[in-house]
Amino acid sequence: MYELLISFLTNTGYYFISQDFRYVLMILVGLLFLYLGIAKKYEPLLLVPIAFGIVVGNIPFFKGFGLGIYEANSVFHYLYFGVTTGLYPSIVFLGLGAMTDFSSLLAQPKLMLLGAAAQMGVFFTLLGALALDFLPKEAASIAIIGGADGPTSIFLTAKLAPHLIGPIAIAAYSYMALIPVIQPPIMRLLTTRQERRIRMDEPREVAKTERMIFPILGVLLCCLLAPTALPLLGMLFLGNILKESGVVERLAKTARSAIIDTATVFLGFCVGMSTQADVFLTEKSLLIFCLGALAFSLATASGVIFAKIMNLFLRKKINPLLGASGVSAVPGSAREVHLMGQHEDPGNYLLMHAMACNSSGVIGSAIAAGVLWSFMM
Amino acid sequence: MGFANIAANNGWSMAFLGISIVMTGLIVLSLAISQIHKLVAFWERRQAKAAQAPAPVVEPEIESPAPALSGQCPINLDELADLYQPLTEPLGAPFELKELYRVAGESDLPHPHITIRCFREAGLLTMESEGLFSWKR
Repeated sequence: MYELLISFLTNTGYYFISQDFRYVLMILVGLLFLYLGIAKKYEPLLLVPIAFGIVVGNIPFFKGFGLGIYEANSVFHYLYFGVTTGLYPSIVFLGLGAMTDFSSLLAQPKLMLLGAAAQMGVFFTLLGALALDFLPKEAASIAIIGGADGPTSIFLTAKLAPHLIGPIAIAAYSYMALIPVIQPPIMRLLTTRQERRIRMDEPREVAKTERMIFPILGVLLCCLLAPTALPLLGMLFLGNILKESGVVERLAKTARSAIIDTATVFLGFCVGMSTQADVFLTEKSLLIFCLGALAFSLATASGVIFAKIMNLFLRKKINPLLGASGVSAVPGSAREVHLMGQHEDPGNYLLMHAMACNSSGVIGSAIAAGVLWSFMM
Repeated sequence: MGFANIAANNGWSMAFLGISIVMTGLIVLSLAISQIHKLVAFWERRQAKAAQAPAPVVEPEIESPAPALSGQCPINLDELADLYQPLTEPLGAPFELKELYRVAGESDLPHPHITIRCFREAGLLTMESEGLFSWKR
């Protein structure tokens, strides 16, 4: 009986935790994220499932029981299949398309360039990661964090460097949640008060026909250029045409509610679970976090600087703060730009314009992911 | 490590080409979408011209009380606006649409959603700023 008891005790999580304190550290990180998501409301829709996944994924167990996310035939492994195949990110993009109103972008197509400019951060980070001796596929997966798009980062990493999904996804989502901390100092540093006070014209009304043509044109032009972006952009524009066509409202409603919510729960939870301490806590993860912060900052700075360059040629100047919303963190970065604009001039409403840049950032980061993937083929 | 590693992995070319492709893609898309409204306007003008062309003589039909605006909009929008406008006075201007729905509901006005949508389509309600509206009469 004593031996049986000892055998049971050595199979408990308490025993394993006492052997390896990295699990405690990761559980504490999970609890911190839960606190940030619930109490501080930092991107709770993403952070709560991820945080809980971190806690669950770091309860140690006896390897070989078929319990963990990395063990074949475990329940969690099957759920994780949606991450490693890029299934969940594609479904999230479907819902995103069904939610997004591209009217403000259609009314001001020039703002699309800011979404493109912000992707420069991705490619600058690619250089940084290569310089730090990461393999090209790993460097590409790290660089896409600069797109500030969680599903895109996970999708590309699943294709190129699946062993890095945990740290890259956590970095991408953490920086998205930390937009209010990261972006404002960069925006303030790169713009003058006068520039931040520039008011934008009210966008014109956009006809329903235009909104309907856009997803068709978008999928043709973008996916013919970078077919590797099809799983993301194909689904994004499918969701959008469901919304804009007006004849399948039931499908659009399901896509923007039940479908995206289901995918988000599993995506967040599995990403959290993939941070098992023995796999996650490595020197590489730390470097990925540093490079992720660099990628995000460079993307923000690229957008702002490009907006200032555009102003050299435009008769009607645009507010350079909008460049910061060229990253695809919807709607966090648009909200931040709007708040900073209002801080300088309470009558300055930038939200609609910033959302235009945000939506072009979503398209831009998906193209960037497709381009990086095709480079690594 | 460093620049040598970037060069060894073709990093400079990938970065330059990558930026160029993303920029080109979005520039082409922005140029294309900047033309959509012109195409739509052209198409609508063509349709309007076709509609203005002398139609073959047909038996006169009994005029149906078709609404002036799209779908189910009531014809007497101005009269309805006279009913709705006083309701928003306590709200001040500009006001939120959900507040207008609320007061319309409290006053038992029929079909407030359709009516308010029609006010917007007819330009009787105009957007002042994000989510805030006022009467234009």
